[in-house]
Amino acid sequence: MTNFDNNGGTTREDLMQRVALMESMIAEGRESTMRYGWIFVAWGVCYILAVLWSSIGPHPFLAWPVCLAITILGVSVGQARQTKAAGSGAFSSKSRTLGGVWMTFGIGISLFCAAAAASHHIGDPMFVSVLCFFLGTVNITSASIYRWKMQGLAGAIWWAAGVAALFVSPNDGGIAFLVATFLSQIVFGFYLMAKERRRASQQTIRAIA
Amino acid sequence: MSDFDTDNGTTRDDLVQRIALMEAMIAEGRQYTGRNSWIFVVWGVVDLIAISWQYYFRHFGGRWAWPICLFVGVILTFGGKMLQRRGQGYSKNDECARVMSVWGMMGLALGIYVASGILTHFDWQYSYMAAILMMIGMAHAISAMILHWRMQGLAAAIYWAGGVAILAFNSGKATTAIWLFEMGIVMIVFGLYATRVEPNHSRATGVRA
Repeated sequence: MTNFDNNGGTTREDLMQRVALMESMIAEGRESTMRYGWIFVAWGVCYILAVLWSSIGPHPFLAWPVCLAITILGVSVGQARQTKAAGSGAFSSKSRTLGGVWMTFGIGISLFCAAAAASHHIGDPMFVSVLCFFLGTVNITSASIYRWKMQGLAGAIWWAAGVAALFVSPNDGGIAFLVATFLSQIVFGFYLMAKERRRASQQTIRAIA
Repeated sequence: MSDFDTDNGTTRDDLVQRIALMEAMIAEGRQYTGRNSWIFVVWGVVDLIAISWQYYFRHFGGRWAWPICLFVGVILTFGGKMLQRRGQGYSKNDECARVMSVWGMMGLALGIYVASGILTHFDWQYSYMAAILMMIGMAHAISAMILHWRMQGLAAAIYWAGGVAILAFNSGKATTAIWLFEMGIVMIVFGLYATRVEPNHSRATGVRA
């Protein structure tokens, strides 16, 4: 036991503390993702509406800017309200890291989309595939950090759509994007919301008890 | 002070210990990146060789330049990692695991994306090249945020700027020059910086590896 207790100057107590800290951080990170399940749903609805509007609606050039603007505004307001309601102490450093991961992704994808739109590259066959790869990578990275298979599956669906978009016609690529949006944004978002509701009700029961 | 000392059952000592532990973990995470920074150098050299082969020795199987160089890069990375793992003192904490997750998933995403692009002959498109830089920038940005590392944040910004510039300039020559700068110079310089600066930083701050 002596070796284990003092291996490399790290005591058993230190190791136990680290394990406990890591476990609590992973749990907090997952909870943080669950709290924001509605954002997945909101973005999923935005993508689907924008694709449908740009395909069959009037003034198709307005579809993406309008849908994106409404979603960004709605998500920002909703998030601000949620943060205010939860109070400043409710978010751990790990939750902030998760927020940072998604923020980084948001900056990256916004820059890419803005540059692609300004330089008329949105029509490239690569564009849909790139979006799918970005979304898949951020989901799988988050899943890998929090060891969460369901989010990993959502990411894998995005990657599959990204690969499929390169091998099929642009129309079929659009369908792959819509299917991935439905499964990885809307279905996964509802799954997160259901888990969050269950967690909140368990917390309430515990508090009453 | 007494309120602070026992806020939510957490003593001041607990908090100080927790902060110290997290700071040590962040420092270890940076060192972990430093230990693995040879991978940046390897990929920088691999990219430089591939670009030179493709443009200056195109009659010597130029179309195979990227597939062969990428394959060699993957073999060198895996071989080097295996040798490193066999060495003494290889350990990783939660921060290291998160950084590893980010880069591992980004590597996997890039592998699938690049392979799909080459197989479907879309690898000439500017949006394809720009997306690779944006994805590498995202990995750097997430890692920089986890490790609170400004230099890596700067590397991320340079990659993102490169991605945007490729789409903005919209020309083959500019794309080659930007690609050469980002994948060759920035990759190698950051790799060498991380290798050399981090041990000095650790010695200066007295953080134990």
